[in-house]
Amino acid sequence: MDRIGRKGITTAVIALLASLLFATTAHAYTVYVTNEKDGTVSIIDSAKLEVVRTVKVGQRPRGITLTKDHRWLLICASDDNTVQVFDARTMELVKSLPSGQDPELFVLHPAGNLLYIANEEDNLVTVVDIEKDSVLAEIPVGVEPEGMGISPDGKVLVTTSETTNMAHFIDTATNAPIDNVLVDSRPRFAEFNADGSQVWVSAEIGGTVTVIDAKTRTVTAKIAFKIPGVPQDAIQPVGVRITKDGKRAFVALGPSNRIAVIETATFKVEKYLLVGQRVWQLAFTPDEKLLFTTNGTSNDVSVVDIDKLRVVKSIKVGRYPWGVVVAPF
Amino acid sequence: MGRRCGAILIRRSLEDAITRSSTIIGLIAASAIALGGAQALAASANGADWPCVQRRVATVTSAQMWDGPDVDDLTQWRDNDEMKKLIARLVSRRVPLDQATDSIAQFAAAQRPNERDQALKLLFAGLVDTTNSDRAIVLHGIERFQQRQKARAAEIERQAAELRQLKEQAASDERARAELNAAEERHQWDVRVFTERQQSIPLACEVPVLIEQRLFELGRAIRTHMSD
Repeated sequence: MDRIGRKGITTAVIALLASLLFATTAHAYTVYVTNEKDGTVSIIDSAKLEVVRTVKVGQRPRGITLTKDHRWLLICASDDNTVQVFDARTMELVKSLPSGQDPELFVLHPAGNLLYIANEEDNLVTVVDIEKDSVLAEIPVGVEPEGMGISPDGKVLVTTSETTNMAHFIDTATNAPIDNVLVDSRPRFAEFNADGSQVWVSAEIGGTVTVIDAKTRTVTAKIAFKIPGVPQDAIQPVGVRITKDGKRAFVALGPSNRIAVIETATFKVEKYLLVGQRVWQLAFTPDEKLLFTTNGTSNDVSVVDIDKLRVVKSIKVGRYPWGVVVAPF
Repeated sequence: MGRRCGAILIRRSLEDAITRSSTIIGLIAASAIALGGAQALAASANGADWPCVQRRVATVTSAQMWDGPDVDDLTQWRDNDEMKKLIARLVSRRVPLDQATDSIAQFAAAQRPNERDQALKLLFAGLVDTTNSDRAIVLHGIERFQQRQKARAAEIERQAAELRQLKEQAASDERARAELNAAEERHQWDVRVFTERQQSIPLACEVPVLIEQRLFELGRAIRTHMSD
């Protein structure tokens, strides 16, 4: 073979390898959505963007999360007063955990084994060891706790109190309260950013998101929303998610049927995106290329392309989709 | 969310009280619980006569329902009989949604390309307006229902007071004893009616939601035929 021929073949091989390595097929992640009214979980393939499986779970499933090792899927089965544990891949029911009454939202300690569950009716946070299946503590908190956030270092738990409009900061080492910060009316959700410097708290009736400095526990900013043509009382912030680089926050705005995209450096709304009706919670894919929103009243999930900031699809799921989590497989 | 669970618990304890006990104490306790339930449900942040766990939203705007242009001020659809007929068909929840979206596709195809967007905007304006009228009727109906429930609750409270008095008298008065039995029965019946009507409130509160769901889906379908 002459020199030109060998070079030609090498180039072709390199080009083929390159095309295989950098193929632009979307990565397929597994998206789990709780359907509050149906008592089911819809499982969506994030590459095909369709429901691949629907699994019967407990009654009134709402909060949903994955364990840190991605082995288990945890679901608040509110009407069964239990947290169900499923094998995340096979969806076999592994066990049920004690949870206190009417569990709605929960958050896992970064260490992985402690689950902090909000029991709205009993004004408690129940702390459960998910390995030992036991209740370790019950922390009395403000009236009707709902939102649960935990700092990335696991040291501080924040729970929001629906009736007293507070964000309560709790020391997880002692389970003792550290501080309370007043936010706006009916706070629903608390989310720390990735470096733990801020806590973002949404107020459903107040119509705002309060950004709290996690170290000083003072209010850094209060974000209000204005959508032309939409009455203010229809703008009801609930779920909040912040990108890992901390640059953007996404907020579900309930019956305005939109999510807000916020530039965190300025706390200004970059864009509003129409998704589905009564948008409630959100979750990113691990590569943060897609965002999935649960739209409770249109019974579907919207898929947002984060690079283009555009809604690319709506996927019908069960009735009243509530929570969503994405697995890295 | 807490209020709704509280209402369910109140209703369950009321039902338990009625089935477990036919004594006056049971009935008085049951009526107190029923009243507590009625008051808890009525005293919502949305106004004294709004029993729903959903917030009361008076009207919906086109901006809430789609990402197309604001069409709330367009009224020319009212002069177009063909459009009005189509609107009536589209909003009717008896017409399956896929047939409604087919009708929208046919309507869009029938328009001249340079007039299509405007026609679709007018169509949506008519849908929003009609939906708001339908919603207003339902909201008003729910509020009237709640007013009647509150009146029933007041009557139940009055009966409970009467029963207490009759019980005191019945020990010594033959006539009071006879009246007591009749009053007990009446009270038991009224508490039962009240409870059953309370149970239908969540269903009634869903109706505005169903109306909005329909409009949102119609808006999505119309958008697929618009040029932007």
